[in-house]
Amino acid sequence: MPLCPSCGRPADAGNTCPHCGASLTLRLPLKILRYASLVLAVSGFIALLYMVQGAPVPQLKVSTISAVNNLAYVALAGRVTQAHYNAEQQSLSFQVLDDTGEIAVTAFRAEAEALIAAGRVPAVGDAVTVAGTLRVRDDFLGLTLNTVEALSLTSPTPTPLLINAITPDLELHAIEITARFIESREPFPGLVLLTLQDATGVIEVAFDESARLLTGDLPLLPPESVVRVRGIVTLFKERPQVTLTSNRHLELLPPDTVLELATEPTTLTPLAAAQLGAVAKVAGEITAVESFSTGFRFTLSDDTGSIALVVPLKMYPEISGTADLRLGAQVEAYGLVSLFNGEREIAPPAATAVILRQPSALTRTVTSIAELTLSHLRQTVTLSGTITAIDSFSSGKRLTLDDGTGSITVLIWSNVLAYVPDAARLTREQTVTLTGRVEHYRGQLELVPQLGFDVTVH
Amino acid sequence: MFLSLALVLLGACLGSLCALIPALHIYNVAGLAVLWLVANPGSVAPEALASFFMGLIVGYAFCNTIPAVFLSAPDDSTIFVVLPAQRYLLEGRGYEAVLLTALGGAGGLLALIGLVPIAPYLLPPLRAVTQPHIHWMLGVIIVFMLMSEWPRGGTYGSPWRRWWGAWRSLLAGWLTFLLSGLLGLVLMYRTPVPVEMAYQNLLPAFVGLFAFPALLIALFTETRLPPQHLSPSLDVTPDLALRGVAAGVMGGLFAAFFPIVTGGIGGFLAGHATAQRDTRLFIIGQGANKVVYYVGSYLLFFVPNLHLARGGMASMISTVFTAYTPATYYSLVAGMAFAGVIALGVLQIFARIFARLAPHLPQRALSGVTLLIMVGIVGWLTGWGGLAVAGVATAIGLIPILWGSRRMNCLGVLLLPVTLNMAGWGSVVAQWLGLI
Repeated sequence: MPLCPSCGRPADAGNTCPHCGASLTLRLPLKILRYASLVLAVSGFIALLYMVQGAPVPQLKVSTISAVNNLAYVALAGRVTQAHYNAEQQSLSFQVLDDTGEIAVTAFRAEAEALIAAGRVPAVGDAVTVAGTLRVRDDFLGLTLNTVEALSLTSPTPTPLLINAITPDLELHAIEITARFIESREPFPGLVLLTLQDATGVIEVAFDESARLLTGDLPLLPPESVVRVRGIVTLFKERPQVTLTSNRHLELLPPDTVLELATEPTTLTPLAAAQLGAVAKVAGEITAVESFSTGFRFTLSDDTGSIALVVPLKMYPEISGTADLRLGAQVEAYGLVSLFNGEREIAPPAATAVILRQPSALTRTVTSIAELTLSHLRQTVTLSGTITAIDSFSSGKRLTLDDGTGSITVLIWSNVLAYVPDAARLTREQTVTLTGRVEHYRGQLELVPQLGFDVTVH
Repeated sequence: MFLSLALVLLGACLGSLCALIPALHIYNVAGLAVLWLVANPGSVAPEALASFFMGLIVGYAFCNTIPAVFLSAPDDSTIFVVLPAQRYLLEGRGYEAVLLTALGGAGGLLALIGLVPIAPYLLPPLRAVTQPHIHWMLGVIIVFMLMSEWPRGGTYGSPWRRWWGAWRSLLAGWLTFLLSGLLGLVLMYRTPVPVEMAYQNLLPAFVGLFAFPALLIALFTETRLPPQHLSPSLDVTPDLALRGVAAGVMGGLFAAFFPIVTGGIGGFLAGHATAQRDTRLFIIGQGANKVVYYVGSYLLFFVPNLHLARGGMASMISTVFTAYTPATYYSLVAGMAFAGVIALGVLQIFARIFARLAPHLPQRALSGVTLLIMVGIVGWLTGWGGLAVAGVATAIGLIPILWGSRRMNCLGVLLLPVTLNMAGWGSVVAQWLGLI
């Protein structure tokens, strides 16, 4: 007797099983499940593929990466700070710095070779966007580049500069210098340092083993030859140097090339347009003055912007009309434009490069000491009164000024004191008028004149 | 030291318990611990976590045999135990099968302890020698896996029907390998798993490929188990046990040391390499293989001069801990031995309980509940994207079960993308698939 395929009990011929009621004739063969599994697997995979194809690669900041992101496929954007090629392991690695932290990106064998072949090896200073697999270890954070296409890089356009304009502020900026080759040395195997000099200074150019392996040897440079170098400013022991990322970025110029000197430009440049690294001629009104241990910084302003005119201590007395070089004066100057603490400044090559066009027409209103409050902090004010006490110290003089409404300490640094007319008369009971910046020291307001000519002894 | 041993003890007990839950992998439990540590930095010293993980992995490596034998719910390292264990189970010898794997596991653990003093000197140069050749070695393993399965059946009907009958399971196996490999590429390059859970990227794939299909099949089949006999001795001679352990240790060490090669593949290769045919020997070998694979791959991360992160556990601990001194290595070896003793004891207790309960367990209900729990865990950890991956992986994982081919082919999820990447072709295939 045939058995019911569903319950396994004997079932007579008929359409349904008398025990369980299952159909005996219209049944789905189980093998259909086999084919269904194939269809399901293939169509499911295609659907998954379709789902992920359009999905964007998540972009992370370095500081947000943690253990839970290990093995994630992510994108990062930043600037290359170091690059290294390991010929033995055929790997390329580079450090990428974003605004939150740094990560090591590595391309192994095939990808490294493909990057080299495509001439897309990231170099120091390049802006990169890179996608890859994160490797998070307790002591290491890395990203593995799986394909050349996952790396996009933009090499910065180099700014032509004179050597003196290359400051630590320009770290990781691309620059171009034209200078005379002085000497070459190899402090340790694999690192070549070239010393270059132009009219404004001397700098070292570094060419490391990775760059040599990837691009070839540097050309032989005859002594005193003139070269043009395109590189990235890096710091060695806080001092700027130029890192050469390819041998093609060093160009040996014809033997008769004459180095351009920092000559006076013929036309005036609006302050906003004064290019970093160029010798520019500018004009403007002195809108702020600051003395520092080695000189004076005058902020020049025009309708377009402002720039700092830095006058070294030695040069200051040699400038024609020094006494009138004060707040409100109109000045014309030329010099090398460089960057310091993120601000452009102009350094005149000689005292003759600074011309006083028009003395200050500002009327100095005397403020009473009693009126001074914390709201005047860092502002320039003029006070007038009698010296009631005087105290000399190694770096200057500290006066106590009384105008009848109150008293205040006046601090005159020695580099400022040196230019005070009749400084010898700065004695007790003497009446003086002083213009200076209001500072705050140990809970007290004090006045700090920035220029000697801002101190008048009556 | 006391705290370290206490954590090993805790880990071993927890690992043994978790191993009893079908489809729950110990890497998921460890992953939760890492997640907790990342959310609460400084709350637990990472070296304490390393000890805890050692306990977990040892406990799991020993006790995961129990669901594989009594519930036919293997993970990727116990897939080969299921068939011979089923035979034992139907003969009322499930308890003995579990103890045979435990014997192998104990032998494997002893072998690891024996290797501890020489590992810092032997393994670093071995790694340096093999490192440049791994891509082609993996390629050879894949070819061997696929070529070593033979056409079978196909003796009746027309030539076409005979050919189809002989080759269909083989073709299904290759398709399984291909689809799981392509799934692996998707996970590697454009995973739908959220980036904040990326370290659990493979969880939905592994659960889908290995756990869900077995649970689904169990939902639709009813196996009546005979009463299980609690054997007071084992049907094995010392010579046979030694040979089984040796074969298992070989496979386990190979799997632990080489990237991507899991315990299942290691056991498969060792079985072929030693050409052992005795079922008892095979079960002992599989027991040794999985313990050496799981524990050995974790221990490699602490071997001085090596610090190789192989396997999920080492990968997870490496994200939060670095072993700077050999002292960590030797203290973890002590922890490993201690955890091994605990796990062996616990295993016998659990095996007795399961042997008594197995004939009465409502297998369907158990499978249904487990399935729901695992779906919940996958969804909770990896979101809708992870569930989608698990769904596709389940469909792929069903193919070898329904077509009678090797489930090991599902390991294409790791083997194919990593081998392609090492050979430099991974990105090319990913581009063909539109992933990058």
